[in-house]
Amino acid sequence: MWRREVALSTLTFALLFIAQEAFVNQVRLPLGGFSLILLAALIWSSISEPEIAAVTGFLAGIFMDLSPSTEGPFGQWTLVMVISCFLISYLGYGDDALNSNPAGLILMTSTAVVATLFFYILIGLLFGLTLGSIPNVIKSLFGFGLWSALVAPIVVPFISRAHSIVYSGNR
Amino acid sequence: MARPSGSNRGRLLLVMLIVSSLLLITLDLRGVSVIGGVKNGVGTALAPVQKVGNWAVTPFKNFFSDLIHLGRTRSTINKLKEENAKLRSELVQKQNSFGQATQLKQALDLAGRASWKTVSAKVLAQGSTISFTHTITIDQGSRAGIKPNLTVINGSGLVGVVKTVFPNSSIVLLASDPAFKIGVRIARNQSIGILSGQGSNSGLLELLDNTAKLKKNDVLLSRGSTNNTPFVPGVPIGKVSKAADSTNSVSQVADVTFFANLNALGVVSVILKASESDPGNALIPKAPTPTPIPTVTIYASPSATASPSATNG
Repeated sequence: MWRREVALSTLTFALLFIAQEAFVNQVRLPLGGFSLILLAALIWSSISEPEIAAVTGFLAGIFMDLSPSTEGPFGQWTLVMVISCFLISYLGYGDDALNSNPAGLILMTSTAVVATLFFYILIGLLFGLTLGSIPNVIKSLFGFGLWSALVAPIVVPFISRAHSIVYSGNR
Repeated sequence: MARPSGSNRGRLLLVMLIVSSLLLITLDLRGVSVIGGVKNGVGTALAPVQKVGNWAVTPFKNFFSDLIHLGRTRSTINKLKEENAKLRSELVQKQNSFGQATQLKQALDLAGRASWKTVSAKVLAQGSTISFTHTITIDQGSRAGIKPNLTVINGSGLVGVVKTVFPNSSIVLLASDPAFKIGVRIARNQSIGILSGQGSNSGLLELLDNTAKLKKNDVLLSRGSTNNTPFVPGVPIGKVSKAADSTNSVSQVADVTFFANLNALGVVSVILKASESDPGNALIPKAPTPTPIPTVTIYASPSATASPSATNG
């Protein structure tokens, strides 16, 4: 059914995971930085159908859970990403003003990054995640949103291209 | 294009994926070894990739760092050269002292000066802060004798504790992590308390005894744990930067600045074996002493006769 698409998506997110661990994590950016795989998964989902977005979220979440520096139980990111990716796709689907407009897409994904992290915090609190002071958490959320908005314009063309190659068989 | 109302197949898929995620969480929380094994395998496989990444990224990091600190680079080099020369001279003195202590130990069969068996490691990567954790990955693992729950230090003091170990790499939980907690004592009055990370380069100290008074610049040392795991005693941690007014509070709290700069870690050491005796306050970093500036005083006294230049004119 989706064998080719899922295989190619897995490969894409595996490469993004390696890039995240090998390069992005080498640099300690002010205000926390960004997560390439999270950003890519949300962009990918926002231009996909909701079912595909949910599968994308599942794949990306598995990779995020596999990261050696990830705290919390295995599957937490998977759960968060399935729901977030489904929702971003469901809420944005058919809204051409957002999806087909690069500025709208960047705004939507940056907001989704912050919302996803907030959701991760809420789920994490149930599992006993230690967060530190509230101002620090707010600063981090702001930082992730800002960095995502800065990086998204560079990432969007590559992800859109990869998305169109993976799903070219369906069009 | 209309928003999809959601087909039965789509709903079923979403439910299946959520259930799968919850199943993974349940399996992990129940301690199923397969998941831990997969994660360990990924950590092991990533170590060489991170080494390559570190090698590739370092020149760019250095370039941008130099660019940002363009004016300060030259003065920093000069300052480091001076420090290097000073450290070399101190090293010679320390080697001499160590030799003397060894002779004393052999002769008198008493415990010599405290020494830790350590293994040094290079920092491969900073952990992703996306999970609200503060970790680093180092290039030494179980093959170098590293085990979980060992103290990690650098030249300035405490860095953190080993959390996860792979054959060729390890994950270190930094002291700045909000989940990090360590028993400490104040070097000045030996009061004990608990220091916890705050997600920045400072920690929060909570004294157990409310009658003890905290002062700014009070030095904190690790109290040590049972069997020196996870913390060995006597490690310098930081100093009090701001003591809160605690007149009406149950316990005294203070902000503590870590001695180690946790945002710029290059090389760290993992303490494999602590000394048998507590080093006490011996490891407190010495405060810099101001260099005395010589002053020259000239006393001028008038001569009895006039100078020739004055008479010729």
